[in-house]
Amino acid sequence: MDFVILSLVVLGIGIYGLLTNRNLLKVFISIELIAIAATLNFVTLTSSAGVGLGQAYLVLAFSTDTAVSAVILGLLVIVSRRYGTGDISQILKVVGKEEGEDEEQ
Amino acid sequence: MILEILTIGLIISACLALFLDDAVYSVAALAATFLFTALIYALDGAVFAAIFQFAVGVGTLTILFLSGELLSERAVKKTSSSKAFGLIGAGVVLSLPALFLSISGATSAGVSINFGDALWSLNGMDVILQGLVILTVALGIVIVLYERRNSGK
Amino acid sequence: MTTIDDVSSWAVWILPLISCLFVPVIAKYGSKIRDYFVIAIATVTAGFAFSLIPGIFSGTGQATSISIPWISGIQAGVYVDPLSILFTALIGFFGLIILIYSLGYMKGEEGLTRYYFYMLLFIGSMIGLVISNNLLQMFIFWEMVGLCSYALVSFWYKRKESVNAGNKVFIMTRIGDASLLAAIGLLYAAPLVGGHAIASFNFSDIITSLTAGAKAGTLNTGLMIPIFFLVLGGAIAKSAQLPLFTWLYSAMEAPTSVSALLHAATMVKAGIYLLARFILIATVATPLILALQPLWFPTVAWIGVLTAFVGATLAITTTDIKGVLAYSTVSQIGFMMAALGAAVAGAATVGWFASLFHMVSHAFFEGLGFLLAGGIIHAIGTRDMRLMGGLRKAMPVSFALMLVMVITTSGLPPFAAFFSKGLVISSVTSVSVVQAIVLYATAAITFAYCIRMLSLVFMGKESERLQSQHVHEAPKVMLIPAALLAVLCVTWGLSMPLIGNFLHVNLSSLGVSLLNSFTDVETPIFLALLIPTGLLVYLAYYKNYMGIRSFGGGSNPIAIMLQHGYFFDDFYYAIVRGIIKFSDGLQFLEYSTTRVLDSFGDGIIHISSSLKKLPSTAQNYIAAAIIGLILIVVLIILTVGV
Repeated sequence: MDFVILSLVVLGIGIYGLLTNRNLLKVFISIELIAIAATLNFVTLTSSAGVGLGQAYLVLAFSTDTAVSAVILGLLVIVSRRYGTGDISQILKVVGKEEGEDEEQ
Repeated sequence: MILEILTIGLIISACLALFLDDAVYSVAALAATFLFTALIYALDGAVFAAIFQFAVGVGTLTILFLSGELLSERAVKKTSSSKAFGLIGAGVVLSLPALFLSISGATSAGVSINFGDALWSLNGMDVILQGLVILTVALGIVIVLYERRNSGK
Repeated sequence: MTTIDDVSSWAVWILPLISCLFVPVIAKYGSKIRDYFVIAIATVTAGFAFSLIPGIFSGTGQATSISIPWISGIQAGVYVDPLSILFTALIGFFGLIILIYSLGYMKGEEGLTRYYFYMLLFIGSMIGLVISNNLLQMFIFWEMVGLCSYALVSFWYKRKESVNAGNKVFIMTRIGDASLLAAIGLLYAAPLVGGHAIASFNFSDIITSLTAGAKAGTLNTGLMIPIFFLVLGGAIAKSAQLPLFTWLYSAMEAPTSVSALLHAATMVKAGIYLLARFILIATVATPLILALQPLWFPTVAWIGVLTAFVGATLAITTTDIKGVLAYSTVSQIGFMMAALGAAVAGAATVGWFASLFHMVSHAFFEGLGFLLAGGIIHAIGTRDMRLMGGLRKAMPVSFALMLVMVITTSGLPPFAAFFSKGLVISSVTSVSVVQAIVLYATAAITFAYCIRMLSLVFMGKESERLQSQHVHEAPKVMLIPAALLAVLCVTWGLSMPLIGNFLHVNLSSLGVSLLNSFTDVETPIFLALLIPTGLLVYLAYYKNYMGIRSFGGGSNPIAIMLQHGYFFDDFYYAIVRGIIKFSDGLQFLEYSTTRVLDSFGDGIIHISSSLKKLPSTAQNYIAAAIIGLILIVVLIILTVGV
């Protein structure tokens, strides 16, 4: 039972999800998954030897990550409200059309 | 034994979280992921970390639930059960390497620093700086929105 | 107990420095208030400067030094001794006069707030420079003075020539700054006294260490000689001596009041202050003076003598009225340098005293020349002397004052420079007859170019430009400072014993006195050379005798060399062009390297997008980054092993 490989696998899943998903929400969830993978690595490495270092890292990194998530979610909500959809390719289509209009003007 | 089950559950719920189509189910799978990792931490002896992660994670999950509807696609198609089972199978397969392989040399950190020291004196400055960065970004967004609102009028 | 001296010696430089920050604020309330504020600050500063004078007269001639710790390890302090107060009083006085003059000269210009800001900053920094008690603080003010010079020379920034001139001034003086900084660093850290370093920037500490080292015989004079040469380098650049003198002519792009303050009366004298201060410090250690005698003092003297000659010959051929004054300044500072070079026994010599005495008189007559030139330029609108002529009817007061300036500059008795220049020449004669001969020749040429300037501008018949436009005399606010300087020119010579007392130099033991200036053997030689030359030149220009009006404009080899400023400028421009070409080459190298590296990144992006096209561009880039990362990890594992 090797936790390092576990966190690598979860990391891989998270990155794959980050790259291939078209939905903004799924992208955000993948980011959370990557954070879980990283902290899993740290905590399991140190706590099985009885050292408290990994937990400290979890506290710091996770709280930071939550604050970052708040900001990111705010941005995502604004974007989806502005373009009316939560799908990345749809949004890029609308943006392309808008830029075309700007250039024509 | 329990650890292995938890591992498999973790990876399954991760896969599900990413590839289920319905927003609510996806977020529920993420909640399950948080739960499984918390249990792994607790079983390894890092109880504080487990409780902390779950508590803070609940907050993130709440917001995700609320905004999930907003961010999901318009035409939501029901997830076919075959897709769900396919994902569960993929999760099982992916968890096999973690169960049975091991990377040599990855032992614990040799230095013994107590928790309080690690939390504050090593990284306190780092956290403050990160907090400042986040605050700045948030402020920037607020300002941009404010200007857009005013110019949009 | 805090005496008035304690307060004055700090306030005299802190006040202008802080007030300059308030000028933009006060300018918001109106330009008249800003002008009054600036004049008031200058008056108070001059008051503080003059209040320090009685203390020096009644003192012992030794320095009092007050330091306060400023930033860790660095001290701020003042050094009140005759040398610094001489300069301080001069700067305070000139600052006030030039600012009053600026009221008239700069009237109606735009950007005056910036002008007054930099002028006050300059006055504060210059006084700070001469009154500092440690080398580091002095260097900081040295740089600040250079900054103000740059900013004020490029004051009319919309003119390309002004901007280029400002750059040239700054870069050329910067070379000297590097040299001076090296000297300061060496003085601090090199093992000079008994194998230890002095480890202090403070003048008092340096003097104490040197005295102790000299008494114990452990002074490392071999190391100190390069230090003094580096100091000389700094002085050469700042005081516009050979070979770094061409910037002073370019600096004439500045408004004339700036030229009068910076480039005639004060900033260019900073080099003289530096050398005088270092000679004064070196005097405490006789082994040091003896070590400097064979090489350093002659170098200083020869640089001074040659610069004086070069400056004078360039002044006689230039057609720009401010150019004549600029080259005159270069030449006269050469006289001061020559006198310092003649001070081979240290500070208690004729040479040291003569240099400082001539410094003050030069400030008066050169400043006067610049103020009058400003009035002329204001009235006629051109700097070219060939377009002027016959101005003496339209501007009689300026003509009279210019006559005073010409007589003073040439060194005719009994005006100021007769005593000071005579003293310089006699001090040089005691060291080297060859140098003295060159200086005699230079003095004759000085008289010649002054007469030439006077004739071209004021005498003769009126030029066409004059006839076509109405030319009036300069306004009173510009004439009164000039008149004041003229009075000082006339009477200053009599103050020689006074200055001797001030500097605590025993003049009678040196054989210097007012009477001696008349009876020394040099004087008849001097006058015998001068008067015929002057008359000759006067006749030539006034009567257009032998077509000498076009002297210097001809095509014979000497004229060409003079027209091009002995090709110094061309040499410097060639070096600069070479450096620019070199950096262009380097830029091309960097560009091509960047292109090669960029193509790697492009290649990876192509690979990843051909594998699978992802929904958004950001995701595509992240995928490419991950592929790149995997590649790097594989490479590392392959080369280094797991």
